[in-house]
Order: sequence, then structure tokens, then C-alpha cells
Amino acid sequence: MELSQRQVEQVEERLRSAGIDSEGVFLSLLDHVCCAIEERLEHGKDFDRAFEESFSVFGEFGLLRIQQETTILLNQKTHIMKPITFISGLSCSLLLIAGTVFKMLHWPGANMLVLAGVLFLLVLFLPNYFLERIRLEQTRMGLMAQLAAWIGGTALLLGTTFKMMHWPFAYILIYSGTGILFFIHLPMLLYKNAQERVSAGKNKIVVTVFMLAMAGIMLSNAPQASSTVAEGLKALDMQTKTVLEEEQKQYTRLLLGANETQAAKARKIISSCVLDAQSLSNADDVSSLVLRNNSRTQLIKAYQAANAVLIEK
Amino acid sequence: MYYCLMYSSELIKGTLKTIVLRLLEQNGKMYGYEISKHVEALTHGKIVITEGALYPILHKLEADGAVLTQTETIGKRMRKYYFITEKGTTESKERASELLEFFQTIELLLAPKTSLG
Repeated sequence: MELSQRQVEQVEERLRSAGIDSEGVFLSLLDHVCCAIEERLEHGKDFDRAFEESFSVFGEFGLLRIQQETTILLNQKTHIMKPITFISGLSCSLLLIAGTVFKMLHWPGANMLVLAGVLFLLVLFLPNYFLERIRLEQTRMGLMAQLAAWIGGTALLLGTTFKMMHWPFAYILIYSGTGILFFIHLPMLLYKNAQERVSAGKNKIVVTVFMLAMAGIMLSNAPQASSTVAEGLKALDMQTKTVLEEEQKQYTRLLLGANETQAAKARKIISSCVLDAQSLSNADDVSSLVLRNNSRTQLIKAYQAANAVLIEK
Repeated sequence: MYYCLMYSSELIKGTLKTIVLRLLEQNGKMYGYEISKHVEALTHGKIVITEGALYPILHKLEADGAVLTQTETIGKRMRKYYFITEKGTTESKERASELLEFFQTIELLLAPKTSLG
């Protein structure tokens, strides 16, 4: 017994009101429920009863659960690494672990092991891994998120290596890497997951927690780092002040015993030393300290030059 | 997942894909409701596949390329028929033999011991 147009519409309405908005799931369930109703009608039941019975088997949220489960199953991507990615990843990890152990035990060759591990990681594992991931991404946002992770991860890795090797620019790399991961990659990832209506997988939660922890560590370290810089500058400030005072005392002493030409020459050297007006401030913030120290160094040089002139016989 | 009248659902968990693929392999084109009724009839009502388990699996098999679909208008609505593909047939055979082998192994473990003399 076939359902009429009106009856099919009734089923459609019920499915829509249950929140079924995925076209594929909707069509499947529509046919399924209609079949179930038709079967009940053939057993001599009336439409209203058959209708209610056919829907009651799903339970309160059963229909919606079918849709959610379908979405989850369809979005599950079994990510199997290519052999080269797997092998390079494994060898990098081994090299890095060996390097770290060597370094801790102060054995020779530690730096070579770490550098080799990092190099492998940068040129073999990361490109392979991210190119695979990018290939799997379907949305623009997902693609950008992977790219950001690649760039940020590379910068962070390089920064850590530079730091370990005491090379310059380590902190710039570490901070920019973390910045990219935290402020660009993470929001994109969360946005993408929200869009795809997929709950963040366990590993994504782990990544998020890890990145939050990293950010916490860096933020708690940052004021410390800048306070160390400020203290260093203050110490330098005191030093330059003492040196300048010494030079000035000597200048005054030497000026008394100098002849007219020498004194004129020395005065000219001192007066030609032009100082930055801002450097006269007594503030203790980092930029004032830097300016003041620069000016003092210039002045010290000028006094030294003047004193050298005055000493000449 | 499974709506199972006689066996514990744990026992047959994970075999749904195999059952669906096998049915499609044997019967050619089938639609969702037909598949669930077929399983019920074949097992004399011992296994009933619920809609909640069947449709997510069917959509997944379609996305994986194990089955193809064809939509036909039946009365006032659309009906989706499923066919097994070559990829699906291979998978079905692999899964079925794996499952049978597993049951044989279990039988070895659970069967009453014959006298060893």
C-alpha cells in the first residue's frame, strides 16, 4: 500500500522537526520510515498509528543521532603515514633523543647528533607530513591551518636549536613560532572544527592543552626576561656614570695645568659632542636607559679624546 | 548500535560492514529497509539491524567507494539503491574470510575437549 503525497509530506515534516538537515540522511530515513509505515498499513493498522509506531522505534533523539553518527563516520580520516614519513620521523626522534642524552652526559658528538636530527626533521619529516595533511584537507581554512602549523613548527624548532647552540636570533624564532601556532594555527583549527561540526578529537585537545601550557610558560618567562635586561642596563648605567665622572674630574684637573691652545682644542672636542635631548631624562625604563648609556659612552669618548689632547706636551 | 534479540551486541559488534557488503554481493541492488528486513529474515529474527547502525554505515561505505548508489522515484518519494563495487567485493571477501577464520579459532578454544587418549 503506497503512501499518498500528503502522508509522505507528513513524514518529511516530522524528520525536519527532528533536526535532520543532511540531504543524504534525510532521503535515506524518509524512504525507510515510509517503508515501515507501509508495512504496518499492510498489517491492517491505520495511518496515524502506523506513523507513530514507526517513529517511536527511534526514541527521542534517535533520528538526530543517526545524522550525527553519519557525519562523524564520514569525517573520520584514517591517517596512515607513508613509509618515508614514518621512517624519517622515527630516525629523527632517535637522533634527537640520542643527541639529548649525549648532551646531558657531556659526551662528544652531541651537537652533531642534534643538528642531524633537526635537519632530517626539517627537510624530510615535516615536508612529507604536512604535504600529506594538506592533501587530505578539503577546506581552505583547513589548508591554511596546516600551513600555519608547518611554518610555526619550523620556526619553533629552529629557535630551540639556535638556543641550544647559543646562536643569535633564537628568541625571535621561538617567539614568532609560538605566536604563529597560538594566534594563527589554533584559532583556525578551532574554527574549522566548529564549521565541520566535528568535536575536537582527543589529540586535538592534547595539542590545545600543550599549546596553552607553552604559552603560559612563555608569558610567565617574558617579564622575567625583560626585567633581567632592565637590570643589566641599570648596572651599565651605574658603570658609565662612574667612568664619566672620573673622566670629567681628570679633564678639570688637566685643564688647569694646560696651555691656551691645548685648552681651546679640548673645549672644542667637548662642545662638538652633540647629545640626544631625550637622553637627559632620568627615567628608569629600558628605552631611556639605552639612550642615556649611548650618550654617556659618546661623552666618555669625547672626554677621553680631550684629556689625551691636554696630556700632550 | 545493533539491535540484537538473541546474541549480545558485543559479540557481533564490528561485523555489520561485513554483513552489509556480503548481502549486497549476493543480492545485487538493495535499499536500506530491504537490507534490514533481509537480515532479520535470514537470521529468523535473531539479528535485527537498527536504522541507527545501518544508515551511517551505508553512507560510509558509499564515501569509501565500496558501494555505488542509484536513486529511483518510488511513488511520492526517492529511494536509494546500493550496489557493491569491485573494491567492495574484494573487501567483502577479505572481511568474510577473516571473520570465518576468527570463528574457527574461537571454536577451537571453546569446543568441548575431545579425549587425547
